[in-house]
Amino acid sequence: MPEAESRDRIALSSRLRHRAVGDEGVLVHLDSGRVIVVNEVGLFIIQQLAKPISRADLVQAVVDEFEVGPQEAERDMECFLDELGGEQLLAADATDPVQ
Amino acid sequence: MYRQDILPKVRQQRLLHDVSLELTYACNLDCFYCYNDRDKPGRPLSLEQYRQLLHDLAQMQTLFLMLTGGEPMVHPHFFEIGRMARDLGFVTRVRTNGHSLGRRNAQRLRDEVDPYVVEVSLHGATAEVHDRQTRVPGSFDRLLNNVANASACGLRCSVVTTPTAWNENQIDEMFSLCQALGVPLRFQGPVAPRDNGDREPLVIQPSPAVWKKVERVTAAQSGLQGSASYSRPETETAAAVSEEAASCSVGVAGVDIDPYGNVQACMHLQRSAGNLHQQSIRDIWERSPLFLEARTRAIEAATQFQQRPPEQLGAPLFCLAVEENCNKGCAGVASRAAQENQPQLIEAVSL
Repeated sequence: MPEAESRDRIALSSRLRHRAVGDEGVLVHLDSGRVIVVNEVGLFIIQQLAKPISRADLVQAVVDEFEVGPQEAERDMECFLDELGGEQLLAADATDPVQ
Repeated sequence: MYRQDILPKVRQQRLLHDVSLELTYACNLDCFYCYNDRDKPGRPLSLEQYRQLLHDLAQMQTLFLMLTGGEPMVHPHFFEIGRMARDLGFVTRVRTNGHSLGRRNAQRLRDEVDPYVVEVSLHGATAEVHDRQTRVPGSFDRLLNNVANASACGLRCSVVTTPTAWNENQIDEMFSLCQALGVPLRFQGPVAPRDNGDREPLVIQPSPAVWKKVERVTAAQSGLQGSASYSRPETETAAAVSEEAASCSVGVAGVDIDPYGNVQACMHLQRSAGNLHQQSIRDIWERSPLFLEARTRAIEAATQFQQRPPEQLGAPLFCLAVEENCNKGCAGVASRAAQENQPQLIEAVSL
């Protein structure tokens, strides 16, 4: 895999556990003990991030699943990913195996 | 959001959110007030059956899994089961007496099971009192070493203790001990009859005044690192004006599975809703009327505490299962999305 493409891939931190509760998602960070709740779209993205995925593929998956245009999806997704990153929920290196 | 919104949803939709696996009734200690019925008959679940169970639970979106016993770490497949739980994405708690948590096992637990927390049992602040309870000489010193080992391995440890007539004069010392170890202390109780109704443990019930002391010292210690907390089911039962307020989550969000595959509403309510040797966990959870019955009884029990504080065996709390065993003849970072299609991290709280 080219390095640039590898860098573009994102995935959940292996320190994260998550489950669906109805339409919402409950995330638990094993180190901080934080419990985080995400809505239906957030849950969908979390589920996509269970395996490393490129940002472009993630945006496309959101567009395919929900009634939203690619630009809006990308903007909202970047916001969401920033929040996930702030909570230490993303893998530092998505080439690492994700549990 | 999690407690106010998600947990009610879990209960309303009867989502199996929390499962306790009693892996074995075997134990390497011999605690005087142990509640397990070691003569309970049954055929232990095989490793393959645990594999199937955990896959089913993961599909059912069960989040929390507690490995307990008996002493779970003496189960011959403890680490295999723990690894499966990790790989299937559960938030795993291990409730252990800590006796097997030597350096090697602590490292294996961290590396292979990666639990969210390891809860160990403390029975006193001195070897004399602790070992009297466990009836295994040296268990106190070994526990302190093992908690230190576990913490050094990166395991998050917490300590649970039950006030008894033997340790009730060591409440302050137990707090101090846990603070020195850097681990939080939680009190639970009361001393209850064994699950088979044997009332023998009740002879070491502490004086009711100990609960006032626990409450007072807990309040004084709150906020300190390694400080204590106090399990207070009555904070839920006292306001039992609705289904949601009633008691614990018995019957609506969690089950206990004994070593022989019996699925129970609670580990102390010794009636089987079904057995995993014959049925899947999904079948049992979705079809057995026992859970609704247990829930109804919990709500009914909670209503008696609308006008007065709960009290049971001298402790300021109430547990339906304890009562039943007594009567056996024994005994976001942002607000919710304005637009449904906007991904939102709704809330972050600490467990």
